Parts: sequence; C-alpha cells; structure tokens
Amino acid sequence: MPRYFFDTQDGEAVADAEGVELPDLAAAQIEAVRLAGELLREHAEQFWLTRIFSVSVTDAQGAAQFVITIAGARTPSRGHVATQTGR
Amino acid sequence: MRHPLIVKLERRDGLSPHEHQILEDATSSVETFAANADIVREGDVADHSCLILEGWTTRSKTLADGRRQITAFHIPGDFVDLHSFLLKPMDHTITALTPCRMAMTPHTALRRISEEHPHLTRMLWLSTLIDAAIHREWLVAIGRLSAAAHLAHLLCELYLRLEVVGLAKDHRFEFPVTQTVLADALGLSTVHVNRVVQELRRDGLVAWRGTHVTIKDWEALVRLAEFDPTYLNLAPRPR
Repeated sequence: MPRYFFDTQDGEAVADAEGVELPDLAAAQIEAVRLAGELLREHAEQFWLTRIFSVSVTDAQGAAQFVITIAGARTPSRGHVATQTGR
Repeated sequence: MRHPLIVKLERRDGLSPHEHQILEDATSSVETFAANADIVREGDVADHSCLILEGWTTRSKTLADGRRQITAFHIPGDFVDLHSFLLKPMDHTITALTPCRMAMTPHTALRRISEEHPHLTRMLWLSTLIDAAIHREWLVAIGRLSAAAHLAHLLCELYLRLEVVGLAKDHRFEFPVTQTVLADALGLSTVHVNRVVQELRRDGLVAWRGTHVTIKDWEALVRLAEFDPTYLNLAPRPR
C-alpha cells in the first residue's frame, strides 16, 4: 500500500515524519477530512488566533497530492449587529 | 503462573483457600483461539462465560458501513463475558486480539457459586462493576479528552491493569495493537492516532517500538491524561 504524509498547519506547523499506509489516494483524501475534523474540534479556540488551518498531503516521494484549507474571516461590518456585539 | 483471576481479585480483597479451589474448579476447561477469531458473537446465547488465561481480546460493535468501535481491551484475569450468565443474548462481539487461552466457565458453575458462596459472588460482581467503571472512563475520554490525552489515559490504565496480573513492570508492557486497532478503540482516524503517537514520543512521554511500550515519564503522562486510578479500585479492603 502507498504511504501518505499528513502535514498540518494551524498556527503551528506539524510535519508528519512517519506517514500512514493507505489503500489509495481516495482513502487518503477521506482520512485527511477526518483528521481535519478531529483537529478542528480539538483546537476550536486556537483556530481564531490564526484563522487558517490546513492539512497538506504528500506521497512517499514527497510529491504534493492535495490540500484541505479551512479559513475563517469576519464578515464586513453590518452596522447594527456589529455595534451591538462590539465587533 | 498463578491463576490470573485469583491474582486480580486478591488485589481487591483476600480469598480463602476454599474460594481459590472453587474458582480453579470452575475455570478448569480451557480452549485456545487464534488471533482475530471471534470468541463470542453478537446474538449468541452462551451457556458459559470466558475468562482470559493468556492473551488479549477486544469487545466491539460493527456498524452497517463496516466501521467498528472497540469498547474495551481485555487482558488475562478478565472475565470478558461474565455478564452473559445473566444477559442473553450477547449484545456485542468479543474477538481475540492475539492467540488466547480461555477458561470456558459453565453458567451452571456460576449459578452454584452465586447460591453457595456469597463473598465469592460479591467478588465476581466487583469485577463486572470495575468493568463498568472502566467503560465510564472511556466514555469521558472519547467524548471530552484531546486525542493525545485520550491515548495517554489508555496507556496509564493498561499499565496499571497489566501490572496487577504481573504482565507489566518498570513502566514497560506489551501492547499488541496496530494503529488501526488503536484508532477503532480511540474513535479517531488512523492518521490522527499516528500523529498523537509521534507527539507522545517526541515529547519524551513514551517510547513505542512495534508492540513494546515504555512509559518514559509517568508523571507527565498522568498529568496530560488527567488520570486518576480511583476507578480501578486497586486497594485491598473487605468486600
């Protein structure tokens, strides 16, 4: 089975030194979404410090395969609501 | 080797020589199972309960889409389906994680113990209560702990349980799981499990080679896991 490496960036970059063997690219894509979901759940507060979160997946040769990016941004000021919440 | 059930129970309260004999007689019929064999399947109506003499088993449920949740790891001295004496049919599956030697204990023998030996009955009841306490801790861990803390909690628990039956010491033990099995027990993706294993290693909390685990910094692992062993009831007292 091919080996895939899952590097993450959520303010702190974490490189995957070992990788995980998975049947194919489609399986790696599903695992990456699960990993992203689990990490976001765990680091909900941290996310807003950087407002960016990504999982980048490479194969055993180091070739980039795909990336999942989650971005958070405040919506433009909408007067009334923005004043009330102080944002 | 001493009988692992007797060792496990005596950690919680002493047993008389007569009680030793009763347990040894009840658990004298031994069967072996290959790794990955189902020992009891969901839906089975058993007429005996299985005590592990050697090896590891899992309790698990498998969903319609094939995903599996492991709800317990069991080790020697654990009566994996003592409850099947009273709860029929089985509501989950018990699978050998490694080759296992199991004492197949007839329910007729358990019935006799429950009718004639009240202290021994309480001790068997205690063992199912400890299993339930472990399930509660797993529920908290799976619902609320971070992945790293959850894995740390599992390692602390297994070390203490294995130490009771003489299968761990000096912070070393064998943990015969793949990362896929671990992912099914922790309710996490395999990739995430791989990541937290690397994290615990990198932070110097554990060394983990193949199935051999060494806890390098017990205090730090306990702190990370918020591990409190009270639920394992490891102190001997009259019961």
